[in-house]
Amino acid sequence: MRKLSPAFLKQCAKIIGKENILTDDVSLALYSYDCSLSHTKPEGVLLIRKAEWLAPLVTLLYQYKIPFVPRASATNHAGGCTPLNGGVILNLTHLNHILEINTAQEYAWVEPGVVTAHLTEALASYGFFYAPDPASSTVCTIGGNFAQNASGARCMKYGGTLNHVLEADVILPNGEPLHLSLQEPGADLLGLLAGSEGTLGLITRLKVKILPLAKHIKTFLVPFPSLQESIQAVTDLVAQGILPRCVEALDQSTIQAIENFAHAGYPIAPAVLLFELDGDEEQINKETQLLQDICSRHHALDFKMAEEETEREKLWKARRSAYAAMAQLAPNVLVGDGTVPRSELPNALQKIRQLLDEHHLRACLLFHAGDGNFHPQIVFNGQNKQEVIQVKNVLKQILKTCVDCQGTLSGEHGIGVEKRSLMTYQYDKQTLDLFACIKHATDPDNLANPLKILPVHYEEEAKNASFPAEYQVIHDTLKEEKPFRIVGTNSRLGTKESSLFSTRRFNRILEIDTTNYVATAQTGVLVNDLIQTLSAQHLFCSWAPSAGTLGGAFASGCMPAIYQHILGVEAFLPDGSFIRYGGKFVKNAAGYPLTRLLAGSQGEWALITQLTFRIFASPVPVAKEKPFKSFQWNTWSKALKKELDPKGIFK
Amino acid sequence: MNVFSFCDIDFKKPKNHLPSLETPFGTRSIRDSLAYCNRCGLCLQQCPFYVLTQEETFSPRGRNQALLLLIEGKLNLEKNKKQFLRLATTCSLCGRCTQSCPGKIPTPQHLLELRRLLKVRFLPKTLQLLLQWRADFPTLFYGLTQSGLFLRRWGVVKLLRFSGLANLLGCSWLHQIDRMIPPTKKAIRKKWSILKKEQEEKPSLIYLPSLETELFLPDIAISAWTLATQKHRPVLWTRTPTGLFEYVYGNVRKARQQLKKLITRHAQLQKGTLPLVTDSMDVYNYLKQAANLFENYPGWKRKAVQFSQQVLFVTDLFPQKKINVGAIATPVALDTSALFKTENTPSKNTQKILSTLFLKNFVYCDDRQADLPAFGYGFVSKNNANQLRLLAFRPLVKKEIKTLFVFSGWALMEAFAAGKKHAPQIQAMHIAQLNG
Ligand SMILES: Cc1cc2nc3c(=O)[nH]c(=O)nc-3n(C[C@H](O)[C@H](O)[C@H](O)COP(=O)(O)OP(=O)(O)OC[C@H]3O[C@@H](n4cnc5c(N)ncnc54)[C@H](O)[C@@H]3O)c2cc1C
Ligand code: SF4
Ligand code: SF4
Repeated sequence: MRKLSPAFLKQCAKIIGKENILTDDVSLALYSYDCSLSHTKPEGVLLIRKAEWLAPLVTLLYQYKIPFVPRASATNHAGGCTPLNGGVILNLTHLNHILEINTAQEYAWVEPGVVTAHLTEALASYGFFYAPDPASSTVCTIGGNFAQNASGARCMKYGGTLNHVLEADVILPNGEPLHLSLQEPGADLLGLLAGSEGTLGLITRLKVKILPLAKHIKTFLVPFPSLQESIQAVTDLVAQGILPRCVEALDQSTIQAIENFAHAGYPIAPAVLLFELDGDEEQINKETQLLQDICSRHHALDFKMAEEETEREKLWKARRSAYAAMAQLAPNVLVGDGTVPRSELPNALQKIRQLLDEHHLRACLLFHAGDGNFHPQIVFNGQNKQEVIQVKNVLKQILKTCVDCQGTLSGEHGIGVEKRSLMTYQYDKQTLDLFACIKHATDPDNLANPLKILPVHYEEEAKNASFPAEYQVIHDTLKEEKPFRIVGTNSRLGTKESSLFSTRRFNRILEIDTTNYVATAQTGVLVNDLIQTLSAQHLFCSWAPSAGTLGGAFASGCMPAIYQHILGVEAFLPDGSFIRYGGKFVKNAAGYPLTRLLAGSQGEWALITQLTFRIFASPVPVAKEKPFKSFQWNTWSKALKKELDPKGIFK
Repeated sequence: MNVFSFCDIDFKKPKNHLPSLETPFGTRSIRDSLAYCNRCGLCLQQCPFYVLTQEETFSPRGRNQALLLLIEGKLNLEKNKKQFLRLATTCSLCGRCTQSCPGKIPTPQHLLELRRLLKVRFLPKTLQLLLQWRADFPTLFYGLTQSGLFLRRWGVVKLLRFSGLANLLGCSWLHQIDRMIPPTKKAIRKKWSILKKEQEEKPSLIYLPSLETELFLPDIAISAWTLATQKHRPVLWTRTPTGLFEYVYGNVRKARQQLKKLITRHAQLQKGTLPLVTDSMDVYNYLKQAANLFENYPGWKRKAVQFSQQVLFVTDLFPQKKINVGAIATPVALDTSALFKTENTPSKNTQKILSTLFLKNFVYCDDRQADLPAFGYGFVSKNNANQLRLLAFRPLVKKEIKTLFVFSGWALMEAFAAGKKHAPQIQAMHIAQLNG
């Protein structure tokens, strides 16, 4: 292993002090792992006690070309904290101060090492809460959550970490500090950082959204005679316009395993769902009635309800005991994470159970039924090499099954090193190239958490993307390599330039899916037309009425509140390559969130052809429209522009 | 040193190490027990030393991984002795990690193995020697401690402390222990010394006071005794060492010998059928796991299992009828600090009893970031100990607790000393004193 040079160590000590540089064998060994199966030793560990140290330190690392890996509580399952290319670990757990809580404007400023549950506790005394609730919240950090785009049971209603970060201070891999905000005109680079797993830079301070505590919460435990019926009940619930705070689910084998351990009194049924509703009393009572009707329509075997905290806790007991039940069965537990569109859940889960049974593996299957995200927890013996290989292989097959069911490799745990080889299964070569471009533009020397997310060699394995024939015209135009400007109706820009390319000709609503409550439309569709079509079917969306196109509303940056509802995107890049990202699933932690790279991008690096977004069965708050402001460039966006559009095709 | 020797010692030299550990999920070798850790980190924020340092090295997860690497030969003990010493000395064996661990990994037991391997005792030499004499030269030990206590009442200990003579004599620990002993009335002391001499001819229960109760806290001993006499004809065993001291401070063989003596003595009285009650949760947890020490001695293991079944904690003697709580200031809280903090029946029952008796005035303080560092079980540095006390007391102060119930004499002494400094309004009481 390389060693850090004395010259570097000397300069480093000037910034952070000698006592905060660890190079002894024990420390190196103890900062070589996280909660995944991978291990790699760093060359040094730097304890970051003050956020101010980071900018000069990263600059120094950049000068010496030393790779660095940010590390918080190291609870991620993806191998995100392993220094694959040597270098140093930047330990951020000391940056654990809550800097400001502002209940009037509903935000809090925190350092990245603040433990998620500590923020929740601090807010509770003010009558507020922070919505993202990963099951590890008593130990994981807000910085780690953002870097992984973590989410939890409440995600169905409130969304993941990405939707709760409003602003952030970051340090780019060359040491340059940058302030990013969702409100800034231009591409949503703040959003692009979510799930970037420390590969695009360091997050040093975050402003997060906080919400008033729900006045009333009710929990329901409902067993169903089949998985299908249970999922159909969730779909019907959503169709009634009810968004439960969470819908957690367990399959029969899981319940059996947990019951043997926790004796929580769960009924042994093919599927058990735990619903939670929150809101004011009147609304909850109404929703409870509806929920009960829907459940009985789907032949629910029982309907238990709890309102008091202790009673609710009792209903949660078995669900919360799942990991412990598995942890005690055999030496080790591998936790998987995949997501499919909700409608595909029964099909995917059946296939996965079959796979596990074929390989005689003991596992529990837990899923967030509301958002199609599930976690197989497989029991194995880590000291038995054969068993480790087998478990890893089965997990790979499980994830492939997710992709086959139109899902994604990760809903919340990220890709890291553990799943990077599977990225070619989900993404086309052109999309992977775009991920690589983003990384290269931001970190040309490959210093920030290198070798993560992207497969090392994907060129041969990855498929080439093909685009629908009607887009041939775009492809041909791009191949001419003549600069042009992309517009929708040209209502915002009002430009008189001659070299315009309007997306108006692509004006079809491609699908309105009332099982998963998503719609897909071409970007030339007028927002008003979309709203009208949806309302004819008693459906709603949060696009603000506008005479412009969907593409315009999305890419102009005038409707930042819509970004959280965009699930998938298709686009052409300046070099003519066609990329696809996302789909009908509501959670995606595989790769950089391209929806955010393109949101507000004002046609600077992509011609967006199609968007997939959430729709609703009842009215939802409409995204406020802001006046148009032109792209505000910073060093990062400039570097991205240079990398993605070196010939300046998109004006 | 050969790095694999740890393994070898484990299995072949049970004199110095435990061959395996009893866990709630069966018997496991140390190596297996370590390998069951999934590195999930759910224990991190429970470990007071991690909370203080925020460093992986001082987390339960880090300690377990370091030990596993040592056993696997991937870390060299001699080369990294300083680091391993730091790992071992910064664990107070509080067991909070095990409590929060989904796999109930017995980290403190692993750390004890590391201590044994390092062959270092973490007590000041003079104190170490004195405590060793308890089993080896009981007359000398009791002679010295009784005269010490007598002289203390005449201010001699204070004189030694303030003149600096205590330090010169290598007895700086006198300073610490002097602050921890709560005052007791002469009448109580007298009553206790009379009680100690009474020995029941046909007992139906054995009361084994812990060392600290016997020496410094006669009021607790009397409370426990009173509880015992409500239903039983108790007999007092004051001078029987359990081997706990040796178990924690390194010599497994001696611990085993002392435990054998205790088991034999117990077996001699009414064929080992008498319940044995202790007032210290530390002693209780240790005796309940007595079989741990006899993995390679099947005959003794059987006896140890039988013996453990007879062990009771003082709250097991609480009357079924309503307890007379007298004038206890509320709100009250329960401090569950104990060696290994095992989630056991007496602990759960006590919580139930307190919530029935005090209703809303019994406050759960589950947001505490540390337990009281029990003097003697993980001799943490003074600086660390002070910070730990603060972590333990802060939520109690915030919740305006007036009475804090504890599970052992050491915890009471800790709470007394720390309370004087951080929260004089909180009165610490041993749970045995609940019954008036
Ligand atoms: C028992 C258990 C349950 C879990 N449940 C969930 C769950 O319900 N939902 C879920 O989403 N996840 C879950 N996880 C996974 C894990 O807790 C999350 O991924 C969490 O977000 C990781 O946070 P952390 O503080 O441990 O970050 P780490 O693991 O330390 O780091 C995660 C990644 O972020 C990078 N990083 C950390 N801090 C920064 C920073 N300041 N700037 C830039 N990059 C940074 C690191 O380099 C690494 O790549 C669970 C894990 C466990 C062990
Ligand atoms: S026993 Fe206590 S001090 Fe030791 S590792 Fe566990 S939590 Fe930390
Ligand atoms: S909680 Fe248990 S399994 Fe998880 S890291 Fe700690 S000791 Fe290991």
